[in-house]
Amino acid sequence: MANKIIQTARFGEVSVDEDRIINFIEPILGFSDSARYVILDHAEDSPFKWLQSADDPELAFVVTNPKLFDIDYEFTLSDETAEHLALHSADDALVMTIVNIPQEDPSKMTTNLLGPIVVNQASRKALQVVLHDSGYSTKTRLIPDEVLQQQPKGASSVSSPASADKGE
Amino acid sequence: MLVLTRKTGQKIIIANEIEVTILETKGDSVKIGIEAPKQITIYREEIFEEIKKSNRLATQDAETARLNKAIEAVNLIKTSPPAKEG
Repeated sequence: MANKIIQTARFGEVSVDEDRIINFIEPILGFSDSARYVILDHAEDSPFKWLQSADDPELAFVVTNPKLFDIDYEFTLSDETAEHLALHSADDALVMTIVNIPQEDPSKMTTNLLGPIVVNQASRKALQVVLHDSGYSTKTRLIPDEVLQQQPKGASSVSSPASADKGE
Repeated sequence: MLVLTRKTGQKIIIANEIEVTILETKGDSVKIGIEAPKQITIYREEIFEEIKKSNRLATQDAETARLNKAIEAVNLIKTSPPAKEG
């Protein structure tokens, strides 16, 4: 099993099993120079992963599974899309959505449910699917305001004393 | 730009393999049917642009420090039991 060295701006040189490289059969919209990506873990227990381009060291996305945030998220792929991805069983599909993290307040992160990434884990073909007419948004909050506001003041000092400064 | 006039039910053929049919017109909207090979993706322009913009912003947003702050927020939610106040 051959390993491949991938240059990345954020993580330096990363060595990955060639089998872990996924190939976008169409580019992620707006990034036509990049077709090969790897999914990198961020940290243990983190709900996020990195979708790192193997073709462009600078290009990476934070991705997540919206279900980890109790977001009701279901869609049906069109027959054409499933065929395009050579996807014959739903069990082979890995779905992730791209995350936007605003600089001003990272807790107000959103995810793009309208354009999920679907990976066929059997063939490692991937595609950013556009769910026309689904009613999903490109900017769904991962933690809604109501939930954020439930946080009692000073709760951060209980859970993580070292990083309590949230930088208002 | 090539401009063609079509009637309801009439089609245009593009590159021998894409068929565009005018299905219905109502006021200022036109219902269009498109038959194309599966490897050709078709988007509504505004959605195409919106997703492109969102993707571009997402990769600018993808900073490790910012992600760590986001995770702090997530952990906070997990560690404090909901609906327990006072």
